[in-house]
Amino acid sequence: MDWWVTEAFRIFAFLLIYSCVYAATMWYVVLRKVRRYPWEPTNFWIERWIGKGKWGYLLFSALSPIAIILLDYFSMFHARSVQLVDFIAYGLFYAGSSLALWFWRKVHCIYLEALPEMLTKVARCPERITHL
Amino acid sequence: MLERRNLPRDLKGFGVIGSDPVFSVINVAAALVVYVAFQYLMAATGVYYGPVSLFTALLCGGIAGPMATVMMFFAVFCSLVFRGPQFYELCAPDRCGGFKKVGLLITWADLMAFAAAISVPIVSLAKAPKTIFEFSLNIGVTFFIIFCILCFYAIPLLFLHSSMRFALKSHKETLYQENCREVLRLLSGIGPKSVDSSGILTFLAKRELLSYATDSSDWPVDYAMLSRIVLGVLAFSSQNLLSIIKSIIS
Repeated sequence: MDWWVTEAFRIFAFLLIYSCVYAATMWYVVLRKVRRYPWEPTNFWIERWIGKGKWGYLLFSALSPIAIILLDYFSMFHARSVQLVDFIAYGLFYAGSSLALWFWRKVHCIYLEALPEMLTKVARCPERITHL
Repeated sequence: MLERRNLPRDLKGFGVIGSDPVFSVINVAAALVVYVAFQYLMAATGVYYGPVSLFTALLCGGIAGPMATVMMFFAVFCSLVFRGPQFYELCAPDRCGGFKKVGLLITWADLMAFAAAISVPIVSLAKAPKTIFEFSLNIGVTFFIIFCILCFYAIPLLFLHSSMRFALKSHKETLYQENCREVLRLLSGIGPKSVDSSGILTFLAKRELLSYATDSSDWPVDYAMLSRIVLGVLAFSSQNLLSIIKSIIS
């Protein structure tokens, strides 16, 4: 097997193991916190911080990638000419990042909608759930 | 073993990542550590990635990845705990026993992970790999992202489907047997005048429920949702893999 394939596999394995260990650690930490204090899910935290509701967060998700692009442009391209491929890359980055930031909030909102439906099912559970 | 009184607390605990800034900051910090480690290795070979790359790494590893993982665990947890016909509501308006919102949740979580990962091809597009390690990093990260996107969707989807199929099958068997018993009772030699109206109404109601069970789905997502994910994964894979193949050829 070529060296670069082995190296790619090692990077893949590292990312996989790191993610699993990290997820398990955070799971343990969150469970301890949730058990210690009663926990109630609230609105999306960045939205709360911005304080302008959905539109405030929309502006945040649309503008923050632009700020990063400008930062990258002035830090990387002052020394060399800008090519078409750079603009394509920035376009992809902008589309992906702004959508991902917006979907981040959307996923939390759907979770808040799904939670009451799942909580209604709890009443039909037996006192002790042993089949897990 | 879980207790019923603790279940609401456990279900609400999954919302910690979107509601509590502390956990989001910890996730971003953990992604930053990995990014810095790779950047350190790359710096030894004279390669430097700019703010766009840093932001992409934090977005994928610190924001979209953890959120999609937690939502995947939420769906799997729901599918394991709410496993049985009593949890599958035949009269639920979503015609999925009340599980469609969870299906929607995993779909959007996967789309979020995909949208965040779109930015990764920038490394391939704007910066042709200069070293073999950079090339390996590109391939390793690409395959890891494809693996994650598939897992975020496939694992909870299959768990939910298994749970829903079991519940719906139990419903269908019970209702079919009850319907048969009602039919036999109505046809058991009793004259038409002696059949009371409540018996007929019960029979019709059970028949209606059986038709609901037949029409209901044992998948939490429909084809439109599934096609979004498949198209997304194909688009991401083709973008990245094409650049990798080009690099190998050249």
